[in-house]
Amino acid sequence: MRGSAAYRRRAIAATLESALERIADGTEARGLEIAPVLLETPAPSRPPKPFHGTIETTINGHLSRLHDASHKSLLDALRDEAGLTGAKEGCAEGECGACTVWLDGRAVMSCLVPAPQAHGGEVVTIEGLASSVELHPLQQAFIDNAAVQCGFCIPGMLMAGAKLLDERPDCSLDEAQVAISGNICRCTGYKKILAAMLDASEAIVERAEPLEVSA
Amino acid sequence: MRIVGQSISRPDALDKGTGAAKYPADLVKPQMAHLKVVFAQRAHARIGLLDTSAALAHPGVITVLTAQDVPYNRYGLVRDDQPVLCDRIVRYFGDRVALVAAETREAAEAAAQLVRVEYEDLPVVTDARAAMTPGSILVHEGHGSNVLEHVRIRKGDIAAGLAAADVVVEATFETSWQEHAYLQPDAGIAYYEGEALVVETAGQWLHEDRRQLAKMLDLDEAQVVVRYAKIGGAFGGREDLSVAPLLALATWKIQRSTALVWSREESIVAHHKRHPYLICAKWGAMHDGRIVAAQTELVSDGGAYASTSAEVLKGSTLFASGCYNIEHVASDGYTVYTNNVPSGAFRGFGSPQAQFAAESMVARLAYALDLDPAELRRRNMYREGDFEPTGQTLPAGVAALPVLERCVEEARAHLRSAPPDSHPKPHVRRGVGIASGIKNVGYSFGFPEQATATVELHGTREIERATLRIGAADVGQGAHVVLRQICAEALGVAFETVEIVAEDSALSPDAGSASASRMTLMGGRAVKDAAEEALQKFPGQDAKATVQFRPPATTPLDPLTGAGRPNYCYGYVSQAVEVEVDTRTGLVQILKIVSVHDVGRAINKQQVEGQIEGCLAQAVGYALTEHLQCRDGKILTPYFSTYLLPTTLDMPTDVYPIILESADPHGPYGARGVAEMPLVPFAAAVASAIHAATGAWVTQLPMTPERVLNAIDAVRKTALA
Repeated sequence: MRGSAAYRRRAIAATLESALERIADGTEARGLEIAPVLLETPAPSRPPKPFHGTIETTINGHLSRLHDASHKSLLDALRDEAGLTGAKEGCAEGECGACTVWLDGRAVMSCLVPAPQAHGGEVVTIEGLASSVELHPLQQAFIDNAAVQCGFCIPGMLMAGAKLLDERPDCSLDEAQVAISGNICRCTGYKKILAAMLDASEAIVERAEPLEVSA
Repeated sequence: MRIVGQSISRPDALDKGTGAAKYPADLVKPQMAHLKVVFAQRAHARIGLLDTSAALAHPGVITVLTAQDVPYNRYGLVRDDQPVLCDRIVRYFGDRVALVAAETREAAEAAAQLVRVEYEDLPVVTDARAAMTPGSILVHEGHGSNVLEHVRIRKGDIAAGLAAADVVVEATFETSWQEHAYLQPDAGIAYYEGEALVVETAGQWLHEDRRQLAKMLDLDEAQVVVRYAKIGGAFGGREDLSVAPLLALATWKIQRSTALVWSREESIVAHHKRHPYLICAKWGAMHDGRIVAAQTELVSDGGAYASTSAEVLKGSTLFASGCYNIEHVASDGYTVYTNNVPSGAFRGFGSPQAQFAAESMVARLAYALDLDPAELRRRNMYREGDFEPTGQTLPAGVAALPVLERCVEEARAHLRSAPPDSHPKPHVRRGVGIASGIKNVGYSFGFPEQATATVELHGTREIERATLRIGAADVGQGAHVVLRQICAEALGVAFETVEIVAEDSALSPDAGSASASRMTLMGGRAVKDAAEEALQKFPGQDAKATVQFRPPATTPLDPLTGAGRPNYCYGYVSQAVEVEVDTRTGLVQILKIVSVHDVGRAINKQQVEGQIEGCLAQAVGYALTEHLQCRDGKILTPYFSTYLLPTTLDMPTDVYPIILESADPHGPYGARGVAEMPLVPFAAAVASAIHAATGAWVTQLPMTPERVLNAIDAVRKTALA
């Protein structure tokens, strides 16, 4: 709520009024997700690993040792120490999502994560999203739907979107919107990005279903 | 047509989607010297002492550069009035005072804190109208007044027109700065390659960047190479140089590779913005629905340096009477130096401000005349052969009316026509608004306009490979895929046969800037002409051609009357929006958007849709959420946490981009431009929809909840009185 103090007082009263009305109507739970999008898929919890200044972490399936990163954000560690420049810095305060990577199965804004948190853990970046033989279905869908313009937000957008597809392959438009609501795109207006997410969802679901044999 | 008209996937999408694409900050290498700028952080002051000794003594520091180190310490796109490093006076918070070069980023940052600058603060002027008054303190002492440009357009007799009008409406509009917020903050590297000083960064016009950098260092242009890495958005915000002069200066001075990466805050504080405008309008119409008089005064805040303020103002003043044939027009535009952040190019280039006012005035006249707003537009809209207020007939291809008709049709199909109070909650009201717009494609008012391309054909019997050389920036809009499609079409070869060389000022000719919605028309036409000429020479050793395309000439406007030929091509747009307004909080939600455009010919429909949809998101931000706030010259919202960009939850999913194709006489295969058009009338369409929902007129941009609520309060008070 932004504005003058007088406006904020009034808007709080109005919001409270609307909320009380909803409670009176019994509609207060409408619109709230029963199973909210979390952007995480359960990873087996790992035993703590003693930390002696060098971060040992698995990045895109390879064990990495980052010697000079204990004071850095995970984003800077990935970009400066691991040489992976796919994740981008757009704001450095967790607002734009361009730095999104997966840490232990969870989509995180790596600009806000201290690098030592990745010690003994597993990181996946945009460079590790495709398999060795083919693109992730979401990457292909972004290309096919013209969801990429300047492209700077795309690595983060893909990591958030692909995590949603891990979490619930058969996602709805609403869920797709929520999943990327922490990722700002200044070029596309989001429409083609959402279309790509739904296309990829369809492709993943189709692939998972056994082929029906026609009589 | 085999390739033109196909939605071919962009080749760059693969690298961008796998993380392989390199943007400027991805090019930084550890052995480079890292740069850090010492900013003025005050609005107006005289530099007393500038002591760099403590910074120089800091471990790892290579040098600290100041104004004395710059051979020609002025730069700028149109008028070179901006110092690379300030000498005596600082004029805004983002002015650069010193530049530290060090072995590491940490050392550069630490040393920048040690640069000691003593300032003598000077009186500050941050209000454009105050800056215009005689006796105001001057932002530039050498410039006798703070008024940078006055544009005057006169048609007919405005006093007589207003006196004779059956209905006259009058209103004042205020728009705010807008931040480009291209997602990739300004960054770059510089290095020597043999004798050549190379600056690798992100921009909008390779050859103009090179011209300014060479001039600054007193070098021959051939000694400077500008290369573009992948460009993370631009929207006009990379038209003015930001980090490039600093990189060039440092590498030239210390003869080492350098890197400079700005934070988001540095980017927002230091680079230019969309101009805030104060617009006073008085329009008159007859009962039969003829708009007969439009009188407008526009004052824009140019900030501390000229940038493209004068050019932006010319566009605003021309479009102050919208896309309508009005008998009596008087428009006066002023752009003024202040101690605020400089204003300059931003998608729409002065049109969105002017037409927020103009389209709001048309809507008010419609209410005053009790006419349907679309019908009032229909009766007055430009038609083929009509005259502009500058006295010349409009360039051929006036599509305003078919665009409006289609918009009305689509709105009927997609937007609800239910009454505003049909929402189950009585305090939530819905409304539909419509607005139209016009915007030039390409440079205006006599600014030299050209694009050059080279096409080289290889192969013995068939064309095996074609090399297209054109110094055209792909800022994300998809220029490269479109130019390759045009080349392949003209040559009759597959898309993949054409390779493009476009990102190096030494390897490709000058296509002009990726701005003014011009690259498809201008660059595309140069490509088509060059391809056709090269084809004439094929097969042969010398099957290549370089062609410069020049469109019909434009002219400067007469200083007293505004007479002249302002432009060679226009784009036309009409939009309809449906909004929901919470009348308790003033919060506005956009539910549906119809946006209709005549693009002449869609070379790649998917990319055209992308331009419309993306521009609409910026338009939503401009209309509702993006509130750049300044106090005494200081930007109070220099972060994405305080400057609110639309997220996917702020954008409706019901967005209908409608593309019409009536060929332009000059564009390749009839194509014209589209990139800026959706921003032009959008805010007015939203204001009109809010009015339909609540009866309130909002006259300030952005239309924040507080402003909307205040406007609703004003209506309530009037109703009670």
